[in-house]
Amino acid sequence: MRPDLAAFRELDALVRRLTEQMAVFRRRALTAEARVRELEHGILEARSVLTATRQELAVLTESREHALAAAREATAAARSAREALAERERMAPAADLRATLGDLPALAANSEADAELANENARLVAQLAEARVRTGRMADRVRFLRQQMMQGAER
Amino acid sequence: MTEPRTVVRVRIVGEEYALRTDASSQHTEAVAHHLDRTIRAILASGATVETPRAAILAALQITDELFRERAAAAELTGQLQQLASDIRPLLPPDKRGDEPSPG
Repeated sequence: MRPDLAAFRELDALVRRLTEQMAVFRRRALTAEARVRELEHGILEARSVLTATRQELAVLTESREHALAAAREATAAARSAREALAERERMAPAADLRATLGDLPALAANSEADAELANENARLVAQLAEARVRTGRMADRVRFLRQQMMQGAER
Repeated sequence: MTEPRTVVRVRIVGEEYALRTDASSQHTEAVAHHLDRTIRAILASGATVETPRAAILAALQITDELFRERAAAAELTGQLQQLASDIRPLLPPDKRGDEPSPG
C-alpha cells in the first residue's frame, strides 16, 4: 500500500475513534449537568422548607414562653387563694363561713382559669412536639440531599 | 483495480501505437494524451523541431513533475503521521491502534 494512503487510513481510523469518545464525553457531561440542576433544585427546596420551619418553631417557642409565664402566674394566684382560704378557715371558721362561701364563685373562676391555662399549655406542648418532629424530618431531608451532593461530586 | 490485459491504440504526435496494458483504456488514453500534449507544447515553443528530442524533453519534464509529486506525497504522509501521533494519546489505550514502526 502507498505510504500516504496508509497514513491517511490510520489517521481516519483515529479520528473516528476520537469522535466516538467525544460523543461519550458529551453524553456524560449532559448527564452530570442534569444531575447538578436536580441537586440545586433540591437544595433550594430544602432551604425554603427549612426557613419556614425555623420561623414556625420561633413562633411556637414564643407562644410556649407566654403560656409558661401565664401558667406560673395562675399557679401563684391559686396558691395565694388556697393560703387565704386556709387562713380564713383557721382564724374564723364559723363566723366567716358565710363570707368565705361568698368568695367561692371567685375561687371557682380561678379554677376555671387554671384549667383553661392547662389546656392551652397542653396544646402548645403538642404543637412544639409536632414542630420537633417536622424539624427532624427536615434535618433528615437536608442530610439526604447533602449525601446526594457528595455522591454527585465523587462521580 | 486492474482489468484483464488489453490492447489500446493511441496516437502520439501523429504516430499510432498499440499499447498492451493492465490499466483501463480511459487511463491509457489519458496518459497518451498527456504525453502528446506535452511534446506538442515543446515543439510549439520552438525549443526544438525534432520530434525525438522533443520526446526526450517531454520525458524530462514529466519526470520532474513525478519527482515533485512524490516529494509532496512524502511530506503529506509525514504530516498525516504527525497528526495521528498527536491524536493517539487522546484516546484510551485499547482504542489507539497499532503504533507505526519507526522509519
